[in-house]
This record gives sequence, structure tokens and C-alpha cells, in this order.
Amino acid sequence: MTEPNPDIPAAQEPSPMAAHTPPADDNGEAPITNETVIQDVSAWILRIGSFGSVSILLLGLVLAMVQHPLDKKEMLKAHFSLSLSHVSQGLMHARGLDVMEIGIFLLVLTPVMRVAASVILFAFVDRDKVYTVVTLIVLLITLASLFLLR
Amino acid sequence: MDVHSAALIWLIEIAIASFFGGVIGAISGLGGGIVIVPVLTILMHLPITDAIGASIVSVIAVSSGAGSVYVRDHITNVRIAMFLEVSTATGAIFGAAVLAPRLNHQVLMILFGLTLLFSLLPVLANIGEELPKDIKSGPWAKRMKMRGSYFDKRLGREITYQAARLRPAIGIMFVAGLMAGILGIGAGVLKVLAQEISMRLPAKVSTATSNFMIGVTAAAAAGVYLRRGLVLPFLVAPVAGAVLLGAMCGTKLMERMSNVLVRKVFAIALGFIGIEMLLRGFGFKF
Repeated sequence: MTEPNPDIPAAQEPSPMAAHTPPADDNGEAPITNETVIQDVSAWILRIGSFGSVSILLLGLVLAMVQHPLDKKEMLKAHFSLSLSHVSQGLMHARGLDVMEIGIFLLVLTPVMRVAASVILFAFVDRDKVYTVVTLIVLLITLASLFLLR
Repeated sequence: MDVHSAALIWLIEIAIASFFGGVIGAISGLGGGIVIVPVLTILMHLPITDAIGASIVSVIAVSSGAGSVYVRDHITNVRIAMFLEVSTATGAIFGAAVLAPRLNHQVLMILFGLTLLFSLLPVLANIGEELPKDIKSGPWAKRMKMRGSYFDKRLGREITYQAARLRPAIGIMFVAGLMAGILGIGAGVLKVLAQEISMRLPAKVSTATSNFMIGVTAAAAAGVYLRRGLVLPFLVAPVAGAVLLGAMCGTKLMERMSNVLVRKVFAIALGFIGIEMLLRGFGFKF
């Protein structure tokens, strides 16, 4: 363990009421708790969600460039389609543009999944009614933007 | 060379620029959008609306990629994040769907520059403060259980903290949401300020908590931009990919840095970028 810097004002001692980080044992490592597991799952969601969806996005880019080489102007003109049936058809033919669109879709869903995981955390692990509701509201606002709004 | 090779080189240029944007964005806790939009607008000569569309999606990639590290280290305060996010996400959707369509490119650039420069002032005033001390929670912060602790790697010990004033933070976060929706940035700037200035949270906690919120806010705003067709596939792919990579590198660096250094990088990046955007908005070209 490093020595605390004397120039930095000392923070309070951790109180028994302090939040959710488990106390460190002699090895300086935190014991595994429910909280830890759920936070690890959250981290896992984020990693898979971000890297996975970006990988799909980049795969789509490569596919698109190989299938239909474009110049810069055409690239700037290409757009994602808003029709689900169009995209699923494109996917069946491994159409680069539609693979990219799936990548974007998954990427945008990643934080949403994390919020959903937090709803579960607050509802069943912390049993915190207030924050279950708060987090649910956030989830609904975000989903509305993605699927409902004009 | 033929047009296809030129297009490929252009994509690579975008990727390189976005990579460095990601590094700076992660270290300063801003989420990348603040750096990416000026880079794409000024360096790559893209219309600011296209840059904003690409940026808002990349911001999600950055916040998610960087966020996994914060969660693993148990620094993020989920309660604070979700409570404030109600206000922020609402602001983001309002900004993206209602306000942004009514603003032209010059106005957007000026707004961009102003946002950055405004945020710079309070941060400069507080630079040097490692950990806030003697913080008493305001009434709302107490009721909403806004406190926590984390293990600071650099200091080598457990830090306990409490949130101070909550209500001003809610207002600031709504504006942060507006900024996210209009400018395509993570608005990590305002988020960090709301948490560090109003709520007096330790810098590392506010950065980590902001990272969570940035992703959610950006997802809400991105919904609007995707529906409006402002996200260009061939732009967002290299930008998001490179920014994510840059952000991962930046986050690894940031873990070992002191809180003071974090804010200094934050302030310097803001300054240069803000001035440039402001000047451009008023019509000065370089």
C-alpha cells in the first residue's frame, strides 16, 4: 500500500453506514458479495455491448466497402433505413449497410441494458423501492426516445 | 489515385483523428463528444450536423467502453446517476427533438464554443483540490441516500463521501441534457461540474458516475438523431470504432493519474477547443 500524500486533506474514516463497497480484508482485496457480482455483470454487459456492437459496426463497414466500393461523396450520402423489414432482408444477404445498422442498434441499446440491470438490482437485491421506480422512469424515457418518438 | 483509395484514406484520417479524440475525452471525463465534433468539423471539414450525429453515437461507445472499468472498480454511484438521469434524459430529448432542428450551423458552433468556455471558468477556480472535506449533505441529498465510498488506487485507501446540494444539480443536469441533445456531446463537462461543484463529490466519483449517465443520455438523444436520419453510416463506423479504442487507452492512463491532473487535462482541452469553435461560429476561418 502506498503512503497517503500528506498534502492531501484526510477523508473521513469509512462509517458502518457507508454505501456499497465492501471493506477490504488484510490482502487489500474486497470480498465477493452480491453487489460485487452484479457490478461485474454490469461491467460485462458494457464490455460486450460496446466492443461487440462496434465490432459488428466495423464488420458492416468492411462488408459495405467490399460489396459496393464507394467514393467519398457516395459515402456521405448513404443513410440507414428505418424499416425493420428492409434491414432484416438486408441482413439475410449480409448487406454491409444493414450489418452496420445492427451494430448501431446494439450499441445504442447497451446503456439501456445497463439501466435495466440496475432496475433489477434495486428491485431484488437492494430492495430499494424508491430507486427501482426512479431507474424504471429513466428506462422508460430512453426506450420512448428510441422506439416511440417521431 | 482512384476515388476509392481516396475514400479509404479519408476514412483512415477520420479514424486517427477520432482515436486522439477518444484519448482526450476519456482522460478528461468528457466522453469524447466535446472533442469529436470540433475535430470532425474543423479538421475534417464536415457539416456540424453530420458531426453531431456521428458524435452522439460514438459518445455511447466511449461511455460504455470506459464505464466498464469504473464499474469494476466500484467507483460509480448508481443512485446519483439514475436520479439525475431523469432530468438529463428529458433535457436531451427536448434538445434533440425540439431545439436542435431550429438552430443553424453558425449558431451551433457558437453554442458549442460558449458551452466549453463557460465550463472552463469554475474548473480553473477549483484546480488543485484533491478531495473535498467537511461536506454536509443538504436535505434532498440525505433523503435520497446520496453517499458512498470507494477505494482510491492512487491514494491507497478507502474514501467516504457524501453529496452536498442536490437541487441545483438537477437543474444543471437538465441543461446538460439539452447540451447533449443539441450539440451531440456527452456533456460530461456539466455533469462533472454539477457533481463536483454543487454536490461536492470527489472528482473520481463524479467522473465515473458521469460516465454512466453520459451513455444513457446519449442513447436517449441518439434515438432522435437516428430517426431524423442524421447519423451517417460511413462516418459513424470509423468514428465510433476509433473513439472507443482511444477511450480505452485513455481510461487505463487515467486510473493511475491523480485527480488534480485529471482536471488540468480537462481544462486545457476545453480552452483550446472552445475558442476555436467560437471563432468559427462567428465566421473566422483558419
